[in-house]
Amino acid sequence: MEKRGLLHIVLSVVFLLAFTLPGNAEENAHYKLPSPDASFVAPEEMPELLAPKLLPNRHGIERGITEGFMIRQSSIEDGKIRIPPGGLIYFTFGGEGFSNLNGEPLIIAGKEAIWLGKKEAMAIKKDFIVAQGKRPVPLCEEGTIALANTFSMEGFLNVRSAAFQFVFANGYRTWDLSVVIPSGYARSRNAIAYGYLQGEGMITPPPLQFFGDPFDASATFFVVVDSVTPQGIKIKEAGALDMIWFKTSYDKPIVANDVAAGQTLQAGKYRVKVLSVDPELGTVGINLLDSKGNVLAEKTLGPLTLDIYRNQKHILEHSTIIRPTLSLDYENIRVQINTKFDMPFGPGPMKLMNEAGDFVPVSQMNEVSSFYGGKVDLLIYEDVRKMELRNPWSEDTRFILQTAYI
Amino acid sequence: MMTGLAIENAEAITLDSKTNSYDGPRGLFKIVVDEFDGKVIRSWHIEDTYGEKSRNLGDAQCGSLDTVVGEVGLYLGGHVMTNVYHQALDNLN
Repeated sequence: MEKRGLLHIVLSVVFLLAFTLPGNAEENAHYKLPSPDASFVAPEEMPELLAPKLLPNRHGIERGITEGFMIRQSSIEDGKIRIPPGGLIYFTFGGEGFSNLNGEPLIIAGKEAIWLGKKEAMAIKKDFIVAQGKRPVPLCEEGTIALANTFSMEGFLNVRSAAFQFVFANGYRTWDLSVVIPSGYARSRNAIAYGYLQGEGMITPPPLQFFGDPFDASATFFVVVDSVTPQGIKIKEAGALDMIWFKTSYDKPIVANDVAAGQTLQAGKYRVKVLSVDPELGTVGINLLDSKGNVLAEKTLGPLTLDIYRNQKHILEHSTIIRPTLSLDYENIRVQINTKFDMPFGPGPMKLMNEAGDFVPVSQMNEVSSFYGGKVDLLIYEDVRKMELRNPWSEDTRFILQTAYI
Repeated sequence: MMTGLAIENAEAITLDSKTNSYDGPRGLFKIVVDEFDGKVIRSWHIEDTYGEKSRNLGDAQCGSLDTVVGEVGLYLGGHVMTNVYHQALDNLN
């Protein structure tokens, strides 16, 4: 026991050092945090800018929205103050985590916006070395999520071991610290805990239990380690989610409820013709027309049924297959089925809005109110903006857009 | 699930006693250096588009503009919390 206690202390100290020691000075401030003696401005000091604000989504459910920023890695060089690229970083957190479909609110640099959707992809990198004390290695282009070597130890109890962490370009270190060894001769913490619960007790030789698997994975990342070399952790392949672009609108949509087949809706210079509505299948066929009546795009939106709400409550929101079926996107116009759900942020039943406008558990619903009475409820956004991450921001090109948290 | 969005400067920002301020994204806020002798930032502050001003964030030892403004650290995990907030509380005592 004493040995293990000592080991814990040694590891803790090493981890602390690994976290707090500055990495090599690089051109930009990516993957780093403000200095420990940075100043702090509390929301009370500048409440208009910093105090959380409440804004409703399309169905009147309020979400808290927080803005703020940090300055990191700034320094004084040759009599001038220098903030490196990425050193001034503004953050905004709003209702976007709840849904891409219910008009969730966000504030982008002081301007109220509606979150409309995003494109995510796995950033994957193969055959590379993550060295200790060096800059984290981005899995894709500069500024995407990276792997950082947070700990290396050579020859400890005859095992060369190391640990790493995923880190976002904004400095956020995320997801489980994973411990690796040169071979697969080890057990993960979970496996040790499970074995312990099963009455297996601790496995000998005990020290090896402190080292993890050479692979790790969750819903959002995976890592396969080849070995731990004196140069660092040699990774066979690693992947993690990052965002490619998102869509937003500063204007509220045209809400066109109870639209019957054959009706045409005007939206600026465009017209939306509803060809068919099928409440049973939960589909609506639409044409997008220009001012002369030429068909620009054609799509059958849906299906959106009670079954999908009941059985795929998270898939509806997160599926990159289902989600795009609910809207037609053409240049900067979007026509979308007026979805009416309140997705639980965690366990709990999905609630749907009935025709009276009240949210009730999905089990108490016998129809999708978006298709009530054989007519469909539609939304038309006229000025959808697609914003590419890690690219200049069209509204202020001195700045680029960056991931905050996946 | 994704939460949040970040916007960061693309090019390095250089400030001195002549060029002493920099506008944040879309002018939402401004960093203003009030007193800088080439070595120490004795006085600097933040202003926002709503007319609010922070206190003086510099002092006789201030060697950088590093700062955490608002509760963004809550979303960025324990490292901002432990490093910056702890130190900020110590500085208040």
